[in-house]
Amino acid sequence: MLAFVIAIHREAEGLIAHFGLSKDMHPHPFAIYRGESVILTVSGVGKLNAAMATTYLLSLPDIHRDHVILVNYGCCASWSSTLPIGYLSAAVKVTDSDTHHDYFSDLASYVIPHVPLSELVCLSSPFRGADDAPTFIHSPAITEHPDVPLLFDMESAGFCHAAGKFLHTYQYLCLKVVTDYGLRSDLSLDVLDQALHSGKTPLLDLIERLVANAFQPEAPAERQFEPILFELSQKLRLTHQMQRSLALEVRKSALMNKSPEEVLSRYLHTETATRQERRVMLDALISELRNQRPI
Amino acid sequence: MPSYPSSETNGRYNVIYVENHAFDYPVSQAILAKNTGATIIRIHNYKDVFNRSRQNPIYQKQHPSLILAVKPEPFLYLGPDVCQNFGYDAFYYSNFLLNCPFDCEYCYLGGMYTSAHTVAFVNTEDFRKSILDTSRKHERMLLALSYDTDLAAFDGMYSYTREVSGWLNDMPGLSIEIRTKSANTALIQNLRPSSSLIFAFSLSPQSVIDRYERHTPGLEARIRTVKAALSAGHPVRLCFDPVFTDDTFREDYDLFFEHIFKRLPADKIRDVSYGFFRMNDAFFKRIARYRPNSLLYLDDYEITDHVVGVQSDLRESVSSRHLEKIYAHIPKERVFVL
Repeated sequence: MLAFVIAIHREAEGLIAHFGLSKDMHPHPFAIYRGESVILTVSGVGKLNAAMATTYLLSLPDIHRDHVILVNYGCCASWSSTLPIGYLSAAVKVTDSDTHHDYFSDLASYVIPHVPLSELVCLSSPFRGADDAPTFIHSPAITEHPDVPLLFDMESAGFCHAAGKFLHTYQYLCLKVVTDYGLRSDLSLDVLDQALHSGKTPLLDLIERLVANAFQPEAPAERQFEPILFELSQKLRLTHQMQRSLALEVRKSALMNKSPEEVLSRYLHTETATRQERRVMLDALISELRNQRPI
Repeated sequence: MPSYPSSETNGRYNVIYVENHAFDYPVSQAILAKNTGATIIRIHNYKDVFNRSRQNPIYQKQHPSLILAVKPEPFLYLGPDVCQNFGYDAFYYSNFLLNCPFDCEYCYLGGMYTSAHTVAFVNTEDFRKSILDTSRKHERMLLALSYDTDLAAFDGMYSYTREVSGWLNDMPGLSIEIRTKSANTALIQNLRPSSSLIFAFSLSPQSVIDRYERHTPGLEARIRTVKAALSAGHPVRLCFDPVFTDDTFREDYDLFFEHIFKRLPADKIRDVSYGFFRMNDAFFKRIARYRPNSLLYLDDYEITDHVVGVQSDLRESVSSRHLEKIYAHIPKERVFVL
């Protein structure tokens, strides 16, 4: 599943239209838009909002965290005016300007051939230009980046902090589009629209690749037998530890090209009354699984 | 033929993280010069990247990054009991690198570290001083440099092996072991041999390599490298470790030992190390979680003093069979069994 956390509705419009998302009309503290295998939330500006919206989204009952690719998408300012407006990049490093804590995305190194990388500094107020930047940003360690653009936003650190609590490092990413070089009070909304439009196609191409090539950790081999395992556990009244032992034996059996379902189904009609009977039955079942010949 | 292409390092990193104070070290400059296409990211401390929670080593092996860092003390550690000390009372190990370019299913590194990214420590002079100080306290000392990595396989990026070989004149009582699965013949042939620098080649039947040792050179390539090392005059140790007791490998091991001693002159081999698959139980459990379908981590083992290992009766029967073949070529006093 693809999920987005986006600060303002204006930034989300293009993605809502592209994926054909509909607003979820159930009451939510953050606006939620849904489509087939895509979900989007509008968090509001600022890292606290981004963190809360990310947490809320990942806590929704229909979100399976193991299978999510989560993207924080939006506008940013660039330190250097050599970057064009509309420049799209993926943040390999996000720095919280208040705590100086750094966040790193493993997904960023995957996207390198398709989109450039950047370093993102998350501020608590809009970036007004190099002269007004927080002191630590002026250190050579930050500004001497011949290869990696230095960008500024207001949501990424909150997003990363929350995402890192729930997801693996290969599951979330900040994608940002340069809209200005320091907020001016007369920032035109047209610039915002143009910037999002010029970044959109590379953005959508990248998103398609992320989804198509999403890393899937190995599912345990017994997963296909979960329904019968559940039924058997109920019938035999197995403890949690017994269920785990049985699951591991079924996994091993499946990996050795045996037919565990054949053995499991023979025990579906048995019942146990005492703990000892459960133990005896489980031992017999496991013994049968071990002794079964491969197909 | 191996199932996976070899992954000896050759400019294979898209992203290189560099600690702010690591930039100016010659080792960093040398590595960065070989990776001009990589994106360089400055960091405060390597642990900010390396010790993150919720990393997945399998993903990271597919998309590896390199971290250049300055190692704080200590630079040497006492040699662990699960490793062979080859008769040395003073047995230490040290780490220029954390993690390995290869991806062996049985490797404890996957359980010891939460990250599969490679850390390269660049303050080699600090290591040298520490090794020199410690070596002066012992008449004979063994230092293993390639435990948490494969140093020779990293040679294409930076030759720690070459740098260390230049230190040996000042440390007469010191023996250094470089354990490797690498087929880096160029390193072997271009390095001046020294009785103090031992190349320890890990060898397994090709079927074991195919099943467990992803991205490593095949057996024949390694044998050629062993022969090159012997021809060049390097002391060579053969490591038949870890050995696997799966029935499907039984015949393969029989043929393997015959093949090895047909191809290699046993009288020129310094010594042999032989040991079964074994691992700290905490590392074992961690790896089993992210390799749920590995039969290696589902097998039956015994646990003694927090070490997961092959059951003793099975060890006995398999080792007696194998050692008989080894002793036919290598005298017992030169075979170290763990």
